[in-house]
Amino acid sequence: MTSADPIFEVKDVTLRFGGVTSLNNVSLNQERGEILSVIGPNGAGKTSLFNCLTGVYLPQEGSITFHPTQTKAIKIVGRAPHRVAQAGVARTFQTSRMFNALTTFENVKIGVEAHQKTGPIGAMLKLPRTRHEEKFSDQRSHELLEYVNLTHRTNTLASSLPYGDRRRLEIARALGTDPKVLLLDEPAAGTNPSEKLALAELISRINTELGISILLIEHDMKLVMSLAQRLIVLNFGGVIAEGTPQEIQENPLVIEAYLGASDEATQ
Amino acid sequence: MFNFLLQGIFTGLIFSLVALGYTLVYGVLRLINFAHSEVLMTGGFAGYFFLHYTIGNHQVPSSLWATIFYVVLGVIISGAGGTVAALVIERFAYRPLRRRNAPKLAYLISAIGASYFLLNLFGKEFGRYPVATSQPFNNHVVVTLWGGQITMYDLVILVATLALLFSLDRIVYRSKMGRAIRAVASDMETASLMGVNVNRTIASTFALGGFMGGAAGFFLAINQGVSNNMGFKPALFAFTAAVLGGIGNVRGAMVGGVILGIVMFTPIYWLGQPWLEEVIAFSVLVLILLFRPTGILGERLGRTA
Amino acid sequence: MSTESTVPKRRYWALNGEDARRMCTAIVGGLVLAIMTGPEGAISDPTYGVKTSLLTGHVVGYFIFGVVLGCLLTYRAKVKDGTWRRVRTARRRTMSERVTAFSSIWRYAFLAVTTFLVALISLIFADFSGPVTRNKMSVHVLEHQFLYTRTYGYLVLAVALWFVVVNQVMQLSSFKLRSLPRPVLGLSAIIAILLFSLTSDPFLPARFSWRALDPHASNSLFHHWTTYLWLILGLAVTISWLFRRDPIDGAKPARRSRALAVTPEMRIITYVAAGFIVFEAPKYLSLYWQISLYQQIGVFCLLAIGLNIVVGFAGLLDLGYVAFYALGAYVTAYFSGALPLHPPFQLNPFFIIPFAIIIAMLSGVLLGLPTLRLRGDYLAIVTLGFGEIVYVLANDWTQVTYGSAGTGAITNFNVHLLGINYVWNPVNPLSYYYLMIGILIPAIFLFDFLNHSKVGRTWAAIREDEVAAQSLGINALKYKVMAFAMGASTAGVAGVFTAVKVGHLFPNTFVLQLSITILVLVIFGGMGSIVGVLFGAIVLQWLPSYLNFHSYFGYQQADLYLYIGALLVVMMIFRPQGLVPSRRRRREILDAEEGLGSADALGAITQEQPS
Repeated sequence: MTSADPIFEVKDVTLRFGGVTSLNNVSLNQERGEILSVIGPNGAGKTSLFNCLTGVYLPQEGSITFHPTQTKAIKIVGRAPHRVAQAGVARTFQTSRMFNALTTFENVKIGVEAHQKTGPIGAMLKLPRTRHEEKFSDQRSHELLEYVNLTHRTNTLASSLPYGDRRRLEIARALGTDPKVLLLDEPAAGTNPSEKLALAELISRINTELGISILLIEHDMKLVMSLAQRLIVLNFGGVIAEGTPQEIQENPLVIEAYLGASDEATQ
Repeated sequence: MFNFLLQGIFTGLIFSLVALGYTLVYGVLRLINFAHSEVLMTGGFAGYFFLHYTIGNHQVPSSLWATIFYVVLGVIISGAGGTVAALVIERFAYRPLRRRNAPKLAYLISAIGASYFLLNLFGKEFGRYPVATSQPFNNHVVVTLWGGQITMYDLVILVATLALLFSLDRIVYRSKMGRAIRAVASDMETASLMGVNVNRTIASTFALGGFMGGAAGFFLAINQGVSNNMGFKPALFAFTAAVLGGIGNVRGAMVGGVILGIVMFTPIYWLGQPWLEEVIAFSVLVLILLFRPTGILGERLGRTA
Repeated sequence: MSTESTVPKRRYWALNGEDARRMCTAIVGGLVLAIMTGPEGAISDPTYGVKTSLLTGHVVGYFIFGVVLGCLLTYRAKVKDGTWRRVRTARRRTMSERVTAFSSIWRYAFLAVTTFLVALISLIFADFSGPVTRNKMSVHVLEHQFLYTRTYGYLVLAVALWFVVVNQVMQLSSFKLRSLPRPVLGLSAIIAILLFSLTSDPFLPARFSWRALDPHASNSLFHHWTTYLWLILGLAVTISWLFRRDPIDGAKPARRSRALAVTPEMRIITYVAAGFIVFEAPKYLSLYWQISLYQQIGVFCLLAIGLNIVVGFAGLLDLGYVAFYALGAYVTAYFSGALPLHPPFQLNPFFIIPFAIIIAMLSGVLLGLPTLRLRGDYLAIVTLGFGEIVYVLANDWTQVTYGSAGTGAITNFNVHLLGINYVWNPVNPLSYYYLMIGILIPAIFLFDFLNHSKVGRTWAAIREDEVAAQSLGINALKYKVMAFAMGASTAGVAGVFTAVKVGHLFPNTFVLQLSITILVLVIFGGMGSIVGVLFGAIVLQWLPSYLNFHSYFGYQQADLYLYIGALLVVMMIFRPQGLVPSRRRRREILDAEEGLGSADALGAITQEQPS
């Protein structure tokens, strides 16, 4: 399919681990400003796809382009993960990966600071620019914590946060890098219904208020159907369906794929 | 020149023996065993005492059977010494940390601590200067090939190391213990779920590597005498050999040792400065890391079979 | 306590195989210590050392030590897992509750009796710490104690301390120690420490006179190092007490409520006190200690805070740190014209420092880039190799370094500027000491700023979870190499200082074992904590000289590395975070042990390549 203003263009990506093919000729496009959701049973290759999109895995075949229609289109395959992140792709992890020994505030601040220019000399001598950036990152981190409703946890150690707060912290940290697209890997896993609701509200706020495109992996169908504008269904490493939530729900292939894993779908 | 090449090959064989210790432990624990040089030294001392109390200052035995007897027994005793040292190191510097699930940095530091402890303990108890070892055979030139001389010592090394390398290869790839080692190397958690006794397997890995290291210590002791820091340089070279062959890869370590020996010693023929061999070995290490970090034969103990 | 009711009856003496194992380990540890402190052996009589250590009376003390250690460890473990916690039906009354229940007369009687006892104890203490030549412990001698000035010092201290304690416990008055203004409190603590350290000096003459404080007098008080030991320890305790901060909520709850908040005046007092000690105390030291204060302690403090960047901040392991130290020193020799290779221009040592920094940093980058690209733990062995290579070059490459014969003379520090002409002279070691302080103190502050800046937080993030850090756009390799190079350049500066002081360089100054010494300074004090590292450097560099000087505990200088090796293993097993840990680092290590994140940067950092 062609789209007017895509932010991600994935073409025929194939990823193999030894003899196991994790992704098989996956192609997809994400529109700018869109919430696109990738669903599929466990082991369908969703997280592998994320790892390819963020440069952690190097697919053997295919190309991934970020901002394909702009003059400075960015090829992601072969780019180091940190350079992918610098280009504006932020992500969260399936099992949340916080910096546990640091506080909530410091966690977010690292995200904000990652793109600042202060070097070791500036940091040691507290040069004017460092002070300026420090002030900015403090302010920005507070704003972000407020944005995700974690102000009351500012000085809590990340390791002692409850599960739902961790998810939100991870999102805040990712937002700190000023991304153009946010990749969320099962943000609602392990959260309770009310946390889930707040999370859905947060995700749609990020999308509408900040204008950040969102790529979402999620097992919770209710959440996916309410949030996503478009869905892509993976199974055994391949795309089996694509369309609006409505279309997907009626797609026989999807129903069949999920029948084997019905407990997940109804979770 | 050929002489240097031969020297490289024979020294390289000793490196291979030592490199096996590194590679086995690395394959299983993903850690560099910094205390391996002391395994070498313990083996050397065990060999020294064996020869000292059997041959002592008597005449060097000249019959072939006596040579075989002393060498075989010496290798076994030195190997046992090395095994004991390796097990002690595993027991006191590794296992307490493993029980606590300590970060990797802690293992490296405690291993280097154990290494210095043993090094200086031996220095304290047995003196800090090199002592010559009683010779188990008459080290005469057996064959001269294109100007290169092969001595009795070289022959003994060749036969003994090949036998040891061959049997180790059999153990790792054919025996039950080897299978357990490879299982733990490829996935410790799954292996333990499958009923492999992980602690015992790790200990047996150390023991195997320790035996090889101890045997290498025996050969070094015959040639250069024993001292408390006899293990340091060979161990450094052997690590380079292990990386050269692909760390974690048993056959790689064997090949890597010989290649490193050749690469290290042959240029000395032209350069003339024997201390340059260390510089060469180090440059080799950095160059491999730059251009082929997985070594010649690639890594992974568990998957090469 | 509430959980105890749900737990079924616990056996009080629930000893098991684990305890037996622990006890055996402790006893074996004691025996190993006996061997370590025993006599030297020789290969001609290989069992001599062990035999003499284990089969003579020498072993008894260490055996007892092992047993006591075993008991302590068992106790700790049992209390920790709750086996030995007594089940209490009613809350036990605290000491203070019992004492305050006394009526007022009994209260004062209690006070009088205990004060007398305390005074007696202080007398006995005075006797014990006095000059060695007298008989100890007889009533007759105790009586004579009053002829000595030192006795009064102890008396004053003990009684004052007792009154403070009694006042707190018995609430004799409404006066509260904590209600005192903090500066007063800090100041009185410092005065008490000063009094104690002076009094406890065995060189105190029978009759105190101010002459004893005169540094130039022959039997001056301050010739003896213990005075400073007590001063430093006391001040360290006071400072750590004053600066104790609130734990972050959610962290392990503090057992006691916090003592004091850090107020600006508190800071000023501690800085003043520390500054006083750092600048004034060395003047009263004997020449021997003045020299070692620079050469043994100052230089090693600098090296240790440099290595701390690599090990503590970045979580890497550098085993060839001494190579950069040597590099700095040989660069100095080169620019002084002390090497066979002549430099294009000779430089004043002060101007060599930037060159040493740049060269050490460059070699750090060249070494770190290929190595760190791959795996953190390769860095350890590559640096080990590098340390050996640099030593070999210094020792054998005679065309460039003069080899083991040593270099020519190295220019001393000198200033010729604006009419000031001063040349540093080895006769006066303090002149070097103050110069070292001049670079050490700024370095401490700069590195502390660094640790609390973006760069320090980034290092923490990389140590903890490299993949997550990279997902935020952090170039982990860059930060690791940066840390490595910064550590290297600090060592380079230390090299300049050593070279200038020593005058002629010999390769043996830079043996590889020195790297391990520096590593142990960092580990012992607490990696990642600058205060801890300085503490480690001061204590561990001072202790061997002190033990050697007095040959205490059978210590021999040749065994230094034996102890260092053992210390490294013991620290890693029992207290990997060090004695004065950094809070961040300690949490990380504990988290890592529970399987949350990691505490070093040694993992793979390349893309996970599907193979």
